[in-house]
Amino acid sequence: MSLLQVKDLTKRFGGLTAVNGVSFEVKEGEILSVIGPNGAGKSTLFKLITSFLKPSHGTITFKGEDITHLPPHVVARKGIVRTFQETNIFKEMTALQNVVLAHHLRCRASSWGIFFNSRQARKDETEFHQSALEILTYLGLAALKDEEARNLPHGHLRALEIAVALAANPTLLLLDEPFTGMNPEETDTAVEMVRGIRDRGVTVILVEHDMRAVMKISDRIVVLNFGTKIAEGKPKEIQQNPAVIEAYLGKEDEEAGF
Amino acid sequence: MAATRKVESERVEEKVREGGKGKPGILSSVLPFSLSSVLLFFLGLIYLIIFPLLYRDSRYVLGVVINASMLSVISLGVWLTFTIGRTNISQGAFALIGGYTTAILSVRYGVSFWLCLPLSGLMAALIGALIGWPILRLRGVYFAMITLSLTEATRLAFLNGGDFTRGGTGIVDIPRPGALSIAGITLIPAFKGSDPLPFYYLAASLLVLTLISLRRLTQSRIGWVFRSLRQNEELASSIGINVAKYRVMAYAICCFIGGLGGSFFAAFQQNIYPATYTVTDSIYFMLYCFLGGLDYLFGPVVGAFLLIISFELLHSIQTYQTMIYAIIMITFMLWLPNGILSLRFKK
Repeated sequence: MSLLQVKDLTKRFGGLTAVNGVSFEVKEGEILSVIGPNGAGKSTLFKLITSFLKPSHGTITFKGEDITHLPPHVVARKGIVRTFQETNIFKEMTALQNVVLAHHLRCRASSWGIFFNSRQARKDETEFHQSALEILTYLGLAALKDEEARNLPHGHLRALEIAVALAANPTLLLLDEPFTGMNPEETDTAVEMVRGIRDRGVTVILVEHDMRAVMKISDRIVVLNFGTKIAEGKPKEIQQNPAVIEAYLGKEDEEAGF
Repeated sequence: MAATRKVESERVEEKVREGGKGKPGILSSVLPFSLSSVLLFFLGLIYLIIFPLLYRDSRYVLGVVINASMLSVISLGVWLTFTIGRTNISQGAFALIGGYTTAILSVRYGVSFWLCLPLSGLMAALIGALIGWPILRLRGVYFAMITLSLTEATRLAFLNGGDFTRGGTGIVDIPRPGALSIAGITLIPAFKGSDPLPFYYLAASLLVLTLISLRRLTQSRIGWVFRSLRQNEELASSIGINVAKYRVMAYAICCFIGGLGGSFFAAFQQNIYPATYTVTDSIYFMLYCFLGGLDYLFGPVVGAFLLIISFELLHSIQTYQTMIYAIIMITFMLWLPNGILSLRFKK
């Protein structure tokens, strides 16, 4: 059975249809990329899956359960966690504090327990601290754990965002343009990192513009154009798909020189 | 700007190479306790024991410090809502609600002050949670505006409360706190006559208790969650934090503290009117926080004591009092935008 099913998903903003009747499935343990030209509705699709936006039409099923109308924090609790296109981090906290905080949904102590520092609360915090260090080490950030997030350079910041998302213990991780602003070398490292995350048992969906990275990393690709799904398949198939080539490069007879 | 950025990133790179080994502070490795905790201990000693013994006969001095202490308590609530990134100008409303709860319960139903005090806090917290749920969706100046109108709306509600709140004449002759005894043992003797000393001890205990509770709260995970809401609500909800729940929690705790303060002043002044707390008071509660520094738990305490005491000192030059006061305020806002405590404690 597939982990996530998106069925006939539509989102309208007034007269604009950002996502139009999109359906696809994500299998457990795969890396699925969503690509498409600017404004194709990729980020809107992400926001719909994580409930940051409510769809106008259609359903989202996760592990056989309809999650379409749940609030975002409940969707996160079910195991769907996203990163953001723009840098999104708790800037005034250190790297370690960011990741420790992000363990929040594994908290077993009640609010009163936390206030009175009960045994459960202390146990939680020790556990989160260890787990956070482990995640930071895994992503190569251990040396920067006490650095305030706003002082981190871009590449490390991206890794920290992924660390924060991983701390929330996702089954399904949605990465919104994780390789933006990286040089080829950094991208290669990041691609390996995402593969490593998948090998830890996390299913990954990512939106990305860097075609080289997408072709390298994806098990399957979904292509959107003007909010509609125009193709789906393995990287090889997508590269040769005429509809995809048209969407990216325009029709041959319209563009002189191709 | 570009140069400092470069230096910053170089420093980070250096750290990566070093493997993140930082130098521990020299003092903290020698002493089992920090200097600031020693300072706090002595301040607490003076405040709770030495000061009231020295000034036990000076009604005026005790009165000023009682005022400053309880206004600090009320402002500490507002400070908590600053930690979730909301500028709250509604604290006067909840002090009013707390005050009226105590007034009505004790005058009409003869309930003991020691029961009225927590009940007033709870009543304010309950109303705060109900109102906070919808309005906390707003941020920035919109939240500030709606909380400001809330103060005014609450004043009007009590003014037009008919026989229940006795309108503009207010509720007077609120009894002084009686004895608190449990199982025949008197824990607190009745507050007799017009001696302000027992009120001093009560105000001081409430301030210390509020400070300890808030310190515990802000250092716990809940405090981290609050600060995460100030920095990025979107990210907080994406990692599974129930944003609505925690911001209502912060606001309700703030209102609880406001209710306690209102209840105290009702018993202390023995009266309450709709005009006891107005929009001006709500703004002052917020100003104390700004003045002391929003990043510091002691911010509102420092702000409140400084403003209230300087206001009293300026009393002799009455004509210019407000003007000098305003100049002090403007100067501080201009030169110390992060509050007075930012002078000593660099972040």
